[in-house]
Amino acid sequence: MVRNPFRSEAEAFRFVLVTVGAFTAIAAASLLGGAWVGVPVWAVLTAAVATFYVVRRRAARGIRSAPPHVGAEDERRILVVVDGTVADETVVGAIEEASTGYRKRVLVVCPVRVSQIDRWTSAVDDARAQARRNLDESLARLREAGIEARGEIGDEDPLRAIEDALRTFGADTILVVTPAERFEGATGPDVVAGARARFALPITSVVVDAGARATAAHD
Amino acid sequence: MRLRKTELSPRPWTWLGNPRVLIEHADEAKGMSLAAAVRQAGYAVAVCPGPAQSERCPLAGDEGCEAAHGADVIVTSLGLGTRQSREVLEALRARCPATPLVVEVTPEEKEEWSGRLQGCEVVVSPATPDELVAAVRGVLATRDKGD
Repeated sequence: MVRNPFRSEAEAFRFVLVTVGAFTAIAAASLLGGAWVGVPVWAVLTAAVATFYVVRRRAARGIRSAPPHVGAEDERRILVVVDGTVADETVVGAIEEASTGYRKRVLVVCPVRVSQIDRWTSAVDDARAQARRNLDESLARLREAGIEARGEIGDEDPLRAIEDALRTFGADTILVVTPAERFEGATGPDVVAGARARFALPITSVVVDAGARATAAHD
Repeated sequence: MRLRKTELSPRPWTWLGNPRVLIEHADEAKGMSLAAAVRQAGYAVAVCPGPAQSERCPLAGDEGCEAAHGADVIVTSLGLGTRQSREVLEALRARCPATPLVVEVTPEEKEEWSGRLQGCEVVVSPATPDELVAAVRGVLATRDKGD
């Protein structure tokens, strides 16, 4: 069976228009700048079109899922993913806000963040020890604030760590705690965006500053 | 028709042991609100926004849809007002014939497309999450009686 790559007539028509436009641009570039100028134009246009279709195809399949609620009706289970930092009073506030009017059960998960350098230098144990320290300190801070929580070390991929925790704990809401310095980079937003794209649960980003100041960005 | 195996990301049904309800709702906030109610009732959920404009639902093509094929109940609130939404309903009926369907439609759509809605549990919009959860419970109970 031959598979039609287009999902509708409109998509096929758009493809024709894009093709005509691209060949016009390549021809114009070749005429104005010589034959070899058309080559990079072709490469750039091809890459742009391919990227557009890949991104759109992924976006079209935005199916999110979540496990059933576990526990009594008046109970809220909160999964706190502490990624490369330590929970502080803002995390306490976010937990209280997420569980207002309900009894709460809290699970703290610290993913073991293993870099490529850690692997090359066999420093995986150090990364695990750091995650353990972050977990112990986070649990201690929550306990000081009157929140009894359970904790565990999670998979090095935070999204997989969340999925593992959801299987066993069945959370109703997820707090992703990241340090401010990392939030400016790639990791923090990626975890939050990835979790929001994957799980049909309320997900709150909590950014912890080194000086124990933090901000919460709700879903 | 043989389904082509495709890797969906994310894999929708990693949660085992409970009935699984696929919710199709174009409005993200309403879909999530319904998902929360369905979860609270004890079901695993997957939420699909349906095909975007000019997109075709993978279920209607030969790719198939892991979320639909793995669901115990499908709730579709996409309506029947567009060709795409009707195509989704047709695909669901054709490719998941044993899966109970709860369809939320306007009173006008219910009247206009009554033929296509035969065999479906029809809920008139705007339906509350509680009404849709009750419909899910109902079709599951009916299915279980028939087993």
